[in-house]
Amino acid sequence: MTTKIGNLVQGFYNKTPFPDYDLARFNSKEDLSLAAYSFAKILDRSIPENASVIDVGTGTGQLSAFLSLRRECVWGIDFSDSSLKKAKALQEKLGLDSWNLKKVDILDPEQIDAIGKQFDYVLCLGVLHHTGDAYRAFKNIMKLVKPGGHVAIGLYNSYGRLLLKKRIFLAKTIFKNNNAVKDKYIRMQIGEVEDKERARGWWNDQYLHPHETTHTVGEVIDWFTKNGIQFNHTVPSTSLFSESAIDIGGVWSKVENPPSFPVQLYKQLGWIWSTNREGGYWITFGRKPENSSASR
Amino acid sequence: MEGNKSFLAEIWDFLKERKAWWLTPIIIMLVFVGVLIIFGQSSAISPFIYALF
Repeated sequence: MTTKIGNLVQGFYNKTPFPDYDLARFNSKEDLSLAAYSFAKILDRSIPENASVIDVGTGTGQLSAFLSLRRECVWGIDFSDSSLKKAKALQEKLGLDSWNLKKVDILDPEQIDAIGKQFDYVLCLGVLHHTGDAYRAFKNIMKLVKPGGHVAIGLYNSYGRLLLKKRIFLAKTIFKNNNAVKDKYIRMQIGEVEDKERARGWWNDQYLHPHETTHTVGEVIDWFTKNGIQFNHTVPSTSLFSESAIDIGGVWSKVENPPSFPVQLYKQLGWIWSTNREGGYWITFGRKPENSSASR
Repeated sequence: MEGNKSFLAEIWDFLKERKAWWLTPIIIMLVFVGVLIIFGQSSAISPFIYALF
């Protein structure tokens, strides 16, 4: 990473690996399964066992490690040495042979090409908004998707993040990041946390991150269109009258028309409140058509 | 439907009689915000999607 923002973010994650955990929590593969929240389990169950998967920006690697428990080919890539070091320690401890870890800077197309492989499922959850050039990073990682492959892109929403930004401001100015406020805000986002390393990682990620951008649904639809990716749906839903029915079959196979601008606006205004708990985070699912060619 | 009609008619009569047209944008905004709150609510059973572990 050669950009100023890149160095800043890399330094941040080297100091505070994310999502982080106390390695002593995971003594067996079963411990890893038990620690997974329900959406991770939904992702796992809805991806076929023979599919290849890459988790872009895997950090300390819980998700990709978990997905590798039932699959032969799961990759986790990240550009933070400290995060990958922790992930490798977990890999050795649990003997996760089908889990491949590699240091990759997703803003560098040569490093993406060096992976030398395309995947059935490309997950990039909560990563692009910390890169300094979210679209360039998106464009690069779309090269990793096989024709007919699936994509999940998780980002902070420009509307949905407003209340968290207010909390960041209050925490910094009035509450001076005191512990009571930290605990309350962390609880709000991830519930009760016993693992102190994980709690610290969360606080740093949400409240002290040196660089983040926010994005709109319209922007992501535009990215998909420019790169020949079919828009499938979002979680939470951007369909006018239906909330996301997150179920095992629905995450990857559900297909809706991209929402019109007034509907995008309406739904995103609603997200100010409804996605507040998760810091305005949403995921867009898409698919690369079988006969896909180059991007613009 | 009858109930709705008389409720709306009542508001209309009130506005007309008192010539309180300045209330119109306030009423429209209240209805808009109400609709937004109802449709913007997330399902109580929706799982965390950012925190996966």
